[in-house]
Amino acid sequence: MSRCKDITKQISDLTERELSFWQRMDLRTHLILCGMCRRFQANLSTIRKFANREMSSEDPSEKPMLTLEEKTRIRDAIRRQSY
Amino acid sequence: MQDKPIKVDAVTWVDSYGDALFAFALSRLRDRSLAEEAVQETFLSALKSVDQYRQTGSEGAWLMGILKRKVIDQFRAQSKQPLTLENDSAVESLFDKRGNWSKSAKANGSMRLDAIEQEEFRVVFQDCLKKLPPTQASTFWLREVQQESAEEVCKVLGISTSNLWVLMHRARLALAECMKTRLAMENQ
Repeated sequence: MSRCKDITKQISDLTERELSFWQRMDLRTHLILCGMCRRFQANLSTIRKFANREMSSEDPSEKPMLTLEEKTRIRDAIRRQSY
Repeated sequence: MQDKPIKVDAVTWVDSYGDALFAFALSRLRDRSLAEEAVQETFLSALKSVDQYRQTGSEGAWLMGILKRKVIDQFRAQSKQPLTLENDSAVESLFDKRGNWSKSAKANGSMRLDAIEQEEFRVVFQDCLKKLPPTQASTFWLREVQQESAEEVCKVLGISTSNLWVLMHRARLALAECMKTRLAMENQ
C-alpha cells in the first residue's frame, strides 16, 4: 500500500494533472482504508471552495485604490527623477 | 533649446493609471507597501524608457507591461535563495519516517474544516497563509485564490510545472494543518 505522504501528493495533484490509471486505482483503494487521507481530501476541497469564493465575493466597487498619501509619495518620486 | 525635454507629463500618470496598476499589483503581491513600491518603480522605469516608447499601443497597456515585469522581479527577490524543495520541516513533521501520518498529525486528525463560516475562514486563512514560506504562499494564492492558470503561475514565479505541483502539495498540507490547529484552539 502506498504511503500517506505520496497519496496526499496525488490528492493535491488532482487539480493540476490527470493521474494515471494505476494511480487512480491506488488512490481509490487507499482512501477506502485510510480515514486520515479521506479527511485531508475533504479539508482540501473545503479550503478550495472558500478560497475560490474569496475572489468572487470581492465587490468590484471596492476595488483597491491608492490613498491620497500613497499617490503623493509616488508623484514626489516621479518629480525627483524628472527634474 | 532645452537640454532635457520632457515629452510626457509623468505626474499625470498617477491619476490616470495609478489605481488600475495598484489593484493589479496588490492582487499579486498581497501587500500594500510592496504594491505601492511596484507602481512607483513602474512609473520611474517608464520615465527612463519613454524615448523608446513610440506610442504604438496605449499608454496604459505599456505601463501595465512594465508593472508585470516589476511584479516578477519582486517575486524573485522574495524567494531569496533559489527554490529548494527538500526538507520542509512543517510538512516533514506531518509524516513519520515511512511516510505515514505522524502521531502529531493524527492528534487533531479528525478536525473538520467544513463547519466554518466564510468570515472565520478569511481570518484563519490569512493568518495561516502568512506562516507559509513566501514562495509556497504566493503559489497557493495565485493558483487557488486568484485562480490564475498553472502556466501563468509558473511564468510569474519562474518555476517548472512539477515544482508548482510540489509547492501546491506542501502549501495545502501546511494550510490544512494550520487551520485545523487554529480552529481546534478556538473551539475549546
